Amino acid sequence: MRYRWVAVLVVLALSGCSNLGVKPWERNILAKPSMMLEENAMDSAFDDHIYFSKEASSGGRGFSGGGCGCN
Amino acid sequence: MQLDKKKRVFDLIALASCSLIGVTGAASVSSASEASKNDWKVDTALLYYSEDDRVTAVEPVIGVTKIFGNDKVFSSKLTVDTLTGSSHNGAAVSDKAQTFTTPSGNDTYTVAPGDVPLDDTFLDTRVALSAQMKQPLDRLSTITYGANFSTEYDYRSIGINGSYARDFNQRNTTLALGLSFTKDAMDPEGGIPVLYSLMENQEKEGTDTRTIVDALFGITQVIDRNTIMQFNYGIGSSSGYHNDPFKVVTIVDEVNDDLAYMYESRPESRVKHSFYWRTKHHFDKDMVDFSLRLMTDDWGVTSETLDVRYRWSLSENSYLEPHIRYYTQSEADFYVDKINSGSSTTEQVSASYKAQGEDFSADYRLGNLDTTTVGLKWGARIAGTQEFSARIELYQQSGDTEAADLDALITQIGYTFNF
Repeated sequence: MRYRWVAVLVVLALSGCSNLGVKPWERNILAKPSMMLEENAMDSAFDDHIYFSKEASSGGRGFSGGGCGCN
Repeated sequence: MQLDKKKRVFDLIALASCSLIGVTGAASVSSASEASKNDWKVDTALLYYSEDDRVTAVEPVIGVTKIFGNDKVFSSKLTVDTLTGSSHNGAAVSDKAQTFTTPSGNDTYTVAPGDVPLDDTFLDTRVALSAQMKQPLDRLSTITYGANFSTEYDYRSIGINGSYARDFNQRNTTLALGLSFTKDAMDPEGGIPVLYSLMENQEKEGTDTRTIVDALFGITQVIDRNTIMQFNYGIGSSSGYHNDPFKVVTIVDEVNDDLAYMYESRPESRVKHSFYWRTKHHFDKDMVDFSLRLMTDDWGVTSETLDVRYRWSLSENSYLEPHIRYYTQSEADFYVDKINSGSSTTEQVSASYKAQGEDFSADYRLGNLDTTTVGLKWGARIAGTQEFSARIELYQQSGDTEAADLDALITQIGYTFNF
């Protein structure tokens, strides 16, 4: 039963999303490197490590992980 | 033609750099299908992180990405992290001089009256290696899988991860699911402090481990020609040893005289939930990158994070990027500044906490905390195949205790080249 509700929600979300977006020939701006979601992967990795070691929360954008004795 | 090829290479590289999950892919997959063979990218960067009177970290990183002709992207990264300086040991500030035993148990250090108790024997080097492969399954879906390993003097970690992403709605919507599994092992010099034991007794025992499982569900949606959004829900569950083996809590009597220091005890499990929303919008020339993260866990910590970057385009190939980040968190249920012994002896306090299995920690990172980051980055692309960047940021923390008040300077330079 629970899975049926999940399926319904996913279908509804996708239906709603289908009204958004652009045609393939309208992607010139979205295709710019600066519009990639992880354009600055190196910066993000440094930041994740710093904030993981100094704050109680981590992750969100990616996995919250472990891998360091700093926290 | 050459410029077109370079453009495609940069698109591919941006795609290759995408995180494990929630990547749009949509805008660049068409470019990826035209991939040229034998394209390499080398990313190098050096981070210098310096806290006022506390920790200094120097962290060189090198990353290599190889793009194969069949749209497979392999990337690997080597990180070396050298830490020196002082770290808060958890004890409260006192109006008297305080003497502590070093983590190894072989020496002592004394903190002056009124000073935040800092352990100045902090020294470690961490080496981390990761490798990742991303490849298409069919025209609309990709899988990514990888592994990571890190080792330091008293800590080791090994992890694997995998994710699946599929495009819908003419590639305007991407759904993604990712899983990661991490196993950490702690082996501090002299052993791990016995729970609830007093520092003066130096009771230590063996090693311990922690297991972390993370799941991440993501939706990436193209809104219009200039806007893309990402929504992630993450759940992370960890079990095992969560203490910081170097942190103690001060036990004071009724007149607030320092009596002893007891090693902290945190719960043996933790479940975290995160909600993340990000929007990138491109103006005529500039670009804004906005994100909001809400997080909560069963330790009682809730947090909100707001992050805004504005890319100010100086020319076709260079930019300035101001950055502001604000983070606030509530304290964990078991966070304490110090423990009042009442009329009990310190041994009785220790025995009482042990009998009740009550958790406590004076680690300010588990207390109420507000942090602010303000920074500026400059980047420039040269000859279409090289990129320089430099950034400088000021990170400030403030909380309920003096130990939480901290200023740090983050500086970083980066150089990327393609061949």
